[in-house]
Amino acid sequence: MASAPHELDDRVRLSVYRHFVRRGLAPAVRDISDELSASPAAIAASLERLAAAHVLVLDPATRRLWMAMPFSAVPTAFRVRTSGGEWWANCAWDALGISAMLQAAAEIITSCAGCGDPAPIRTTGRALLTGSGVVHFAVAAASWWDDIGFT
Amino acid sequence: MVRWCAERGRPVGAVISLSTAWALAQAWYSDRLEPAWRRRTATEAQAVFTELGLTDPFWRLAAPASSPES
Repeated sequence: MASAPHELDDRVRLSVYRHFVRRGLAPAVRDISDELSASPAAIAASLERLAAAHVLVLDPATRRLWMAMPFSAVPTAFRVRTSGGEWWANCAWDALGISAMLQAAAEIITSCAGCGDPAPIRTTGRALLTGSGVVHFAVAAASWWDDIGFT
Repeated sequence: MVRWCAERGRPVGAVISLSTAWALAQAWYSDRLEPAWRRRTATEAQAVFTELGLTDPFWRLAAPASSPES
């Protein structure tokens, strides 16, 4: 029997995140389809619903996964490395978020936006270990989803 | 920071310490892998900001029905 849309959406969301955790990159529709034994069309429709609900972000042109916050499907200025893998994060907050979400000691490889010098940050997974500086949010919270790519 | 933003044509926005950013990351993302995870309502999100002392208008959510979930 086919899953109700919302039930499928829950399973698709988890599949996306688990793929990111295991593989360090975004799944293709076919990856999710194979894991959940659902048609690619059903998965694509589910991803669109999740994007409309601001749970995930799809590339505006290709409709491929772009963000499953805090993960980024594309290279960014924030690389997160743990003993279990490496990921791109969407921003400094999300880079910290990967460590917090995985509860894994992490090294965040990034640079100072002002001077370009390396600005590594280390966490234990439960606490901030080393790192200095500040985090800049350009867009007010109420407008984050107006242009999530810019945010 | 104001000059840095002006030179890059970016809004000044808000600046928080790394430790506050870490606390925000923990509050926001620690439950993201749980099967029962749901997006926060705007009220719930606002409570997270308030708990961390992010009470400046920059962090104020416009409409109770919307959520800023990242």
